[in-house]
Amino acid sequence: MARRPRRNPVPQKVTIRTYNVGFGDCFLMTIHYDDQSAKHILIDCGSMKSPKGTRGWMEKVVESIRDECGGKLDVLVATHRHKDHISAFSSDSTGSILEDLKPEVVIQPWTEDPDIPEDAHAPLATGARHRRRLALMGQFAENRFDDGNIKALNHLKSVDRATVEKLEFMGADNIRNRKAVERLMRMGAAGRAIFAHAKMELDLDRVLPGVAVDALGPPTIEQSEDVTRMRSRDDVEFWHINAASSALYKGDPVDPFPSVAGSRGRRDMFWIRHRLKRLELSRLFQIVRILDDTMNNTSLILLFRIGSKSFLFPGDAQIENWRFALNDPEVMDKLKDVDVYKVGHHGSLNATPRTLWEHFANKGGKRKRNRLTTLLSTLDGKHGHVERKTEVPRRTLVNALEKSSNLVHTQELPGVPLFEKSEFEL
Amino acid sequence: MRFCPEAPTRRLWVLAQDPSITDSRGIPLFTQVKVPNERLVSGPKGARIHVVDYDATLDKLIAPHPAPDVDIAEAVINGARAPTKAAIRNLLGNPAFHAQNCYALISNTILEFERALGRTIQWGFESGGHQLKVSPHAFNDMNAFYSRDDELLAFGYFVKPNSEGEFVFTCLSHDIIVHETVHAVLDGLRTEYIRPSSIDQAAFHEGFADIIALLSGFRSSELVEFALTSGEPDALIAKRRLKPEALRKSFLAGLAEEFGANMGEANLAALRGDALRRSVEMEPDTSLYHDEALRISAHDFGEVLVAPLINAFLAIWWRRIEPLDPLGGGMIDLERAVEEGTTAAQHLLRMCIRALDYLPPANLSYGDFLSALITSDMETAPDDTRYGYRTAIRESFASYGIAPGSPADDAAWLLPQDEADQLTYGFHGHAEMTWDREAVFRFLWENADILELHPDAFTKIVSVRPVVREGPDGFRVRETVVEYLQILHTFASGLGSLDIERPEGMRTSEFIRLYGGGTLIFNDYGKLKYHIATGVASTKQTRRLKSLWDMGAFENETSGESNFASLHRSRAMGSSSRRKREQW
Repeated sequence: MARRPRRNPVPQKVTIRTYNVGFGDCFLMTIHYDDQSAKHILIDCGSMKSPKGTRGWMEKVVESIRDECGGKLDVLVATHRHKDHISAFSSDSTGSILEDLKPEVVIQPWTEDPDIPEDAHAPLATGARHRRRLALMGQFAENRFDDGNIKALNHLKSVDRATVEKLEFMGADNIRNRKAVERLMRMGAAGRAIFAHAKMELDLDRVLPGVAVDALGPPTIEQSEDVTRMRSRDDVEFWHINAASSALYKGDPVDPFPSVAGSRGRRDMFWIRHRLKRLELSRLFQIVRILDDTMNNTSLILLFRIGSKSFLFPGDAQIENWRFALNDPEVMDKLKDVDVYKVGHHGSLNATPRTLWEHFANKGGKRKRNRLTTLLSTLDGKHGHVERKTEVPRRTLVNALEKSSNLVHTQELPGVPLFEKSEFEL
Repeated sequence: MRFCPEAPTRRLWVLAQDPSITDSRGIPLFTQVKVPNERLVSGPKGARIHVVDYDATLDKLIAPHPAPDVDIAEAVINGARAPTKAAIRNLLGNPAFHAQNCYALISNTILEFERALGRTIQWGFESGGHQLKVSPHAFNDMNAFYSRDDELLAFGYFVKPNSEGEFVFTCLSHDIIVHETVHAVLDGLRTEYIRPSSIDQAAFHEGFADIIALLSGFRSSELVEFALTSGEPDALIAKRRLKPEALRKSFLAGLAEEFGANMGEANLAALRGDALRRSVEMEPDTSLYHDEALRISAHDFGEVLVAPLINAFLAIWWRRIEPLDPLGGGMIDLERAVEEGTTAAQHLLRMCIRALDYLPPANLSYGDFLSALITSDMETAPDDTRYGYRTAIRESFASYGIAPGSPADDAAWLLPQDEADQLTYGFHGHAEMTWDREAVFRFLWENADILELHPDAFTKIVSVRPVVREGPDGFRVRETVVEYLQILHTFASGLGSLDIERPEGMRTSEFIRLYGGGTLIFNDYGKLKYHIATGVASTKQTRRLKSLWDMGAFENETSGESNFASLHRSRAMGSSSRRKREQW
């Protein structure tokens, strides 16, 4: 008897678990097929600060992921290397559990590709140069903000304690996360590693039947519309960061006059000493903001189109990353019908471009059919300032999300559940 | 040298450029600069400058040298024995010498401005304070900047990339110290220039600071001789090596390389514009002034001002050399060649500084600077036939596509006779018009139509400054320089009625302040000589608004007053109106 050709299973339903990880991102998406099979995609797993009153929280999160996916992941996405997105891959307790889930495919941004040669002398604004810069940024953050090194900032607390604490928080997020990065590399090598960039065709049909995955970002340096403008900036920034990230600065910065003792100084010096401390604080803040923005802009932006629905996961991408996609009419056409939007960068002011938000056709009032769902994973009081209108999450954005979408807001969940489950019939 | 109240100035040793520029024995070049012979307390702290050596990265305050009148370098450089490398190393490793190097170069720059302008200069600080604070080792960073809010010049230091822990101190670079001092002085003279405007104005701060820094360095015979001879001087030099093209390729290019050497592998542009190198590379081309790619960044476009000036300097130097009789075989005395160069630099330096008084107080363009240069020089050195400074400058600017702001044939500002004849002076005497802002405002009020002031704009007199300038031939000019500012408030929807185009994408509800104003120059008899103005509703505003919109200057109202600290880094990140429009 002739065997009937095997039919590809058809997706029927999608379940998304928005994990409540405090300040971080962690989403487990399950695609249910008509043959009762299921595929599991984990998108990020990290936290900078667990929800209030919790202990050993990330262990519980990871154990839950293992249980929910039945001990096997099909696809792992690490949108970018910030600690709040990959910290669970770092520690042995959580990392080994995740590694044991043996994903078939590990997707990361092109900036993580180890095969781009490291070469500081390469022509400006090439991918290698960008990678080198990112590495230097990580080194800088590690020198200044890794545990034990942050005492060098204590003297600035008399100027503005709250800003120093935010600086330390942001600085720590940018530490290189070497252990997590290495684990992700290993996991990619064990399965199949994809280092994606905008417009790259991700061939995932075998692993995720019936699912189209579009990479909308990050653009490569060559794709960036600012490439000509970036050249001079790139070089300027490169050397600033290079000078600041010398290995000599590990721990306390080096004193150029070690044999000259410090002095208390005269009273007429105190005012300017205070002003210089303020400048030092704002200088460090600026550098760390550049590190943070640059790293955020390496975020993968993935659009999953499954059956009749589409799901947008942009990591922490900011406008500079988004710009390439927003200028492409073909991409804009696809973005119009997004059903689920993971709110970019924990709801910060510049990670949900207004052009994108205005473009979503499914947003609207409560009675809107197929109303847009938005997923916001965040913890307030960690980033930005209310008075400067830079707080995360940004109030005006949250208001818009509440008004025009079904918002899942991790901080607003009743009690402290591990995750919130959302289901979408296809 | 001790404090000597009889002499108005004294000399202090400074590095001619930076520690990397050395003679054939490997000893860095030092030079002496004039500073006021003032009372100093330890810091040094004088009437205009207070050096405070506080390192905010390390939280370390270094006690100042207890004897501020002592020239710390004198015994090493001018002692009984030739300086040894070890003694120089000790000197360069002594933070007290760093403080002296800053104090002396900043003082000398102030002195140069005051002499050229014929009056004292004031800082632009809100507090009205008299002493600029200077921090020679402000923080561990590849940066140096002026901050108006902090009344401060801050110099960073850093480990030379890919070195064995070798430090680079920006406070030991002549170029960087003078550049940053010029920012501070210019901000005191022309407060509005720090405000976002056209790219010309934004770039002027950078370009002008580079010009003064370079010309200031070229006054040092040690440095000029070094650059002419690659550190191996001879009594004679071939005349052909002093032609402008030859000077560009050897003198400028050689120095550019040496200037960069101190930074190790790092690009000097990371600290500020690499003006010298670009002046060599940027060959004259009349399209450069309009090059949109250069108009994006203030640093890049500043170089379009530096290159014509530096090339004019080379042309003038050659004009001074050309008539000299060769000592046979086309050779001339090296000392003479150096002296002609330093003299040309000194004269050009004063010309550039004097030109500031002949600039409009807001919205200036490079063409305005050209006309100001020509006019100010005509006033103090009426006869230009010998070396043709003005011709050289006009030709050099023209070769980069910069046309004078004045329509007159000689490019100088001009007050039309019929306009001058109609002016009313009746209300106040000449004496009051040299100091009294109310008296000068009355003059403006009475003559508002003739001077074409906008009737709806808020108008204020910013400054009234009597000056006495001395030209190279001892010729004295007495003038009163008055600046007035006009501010016109409008919504973007009202721009059309002013014949100003609304930038694409700007909301009609955007609230806009248009800035304009003028400089009035009165002669010794109290009569108006020049009126150099940019109308608050002139067509120039279209370009200014577009430039501001593209730069994202509407993101917050205070961005104009922010200090220079973030200039390099904000340049690195970019700031665009697109970014703002996409934010929440």
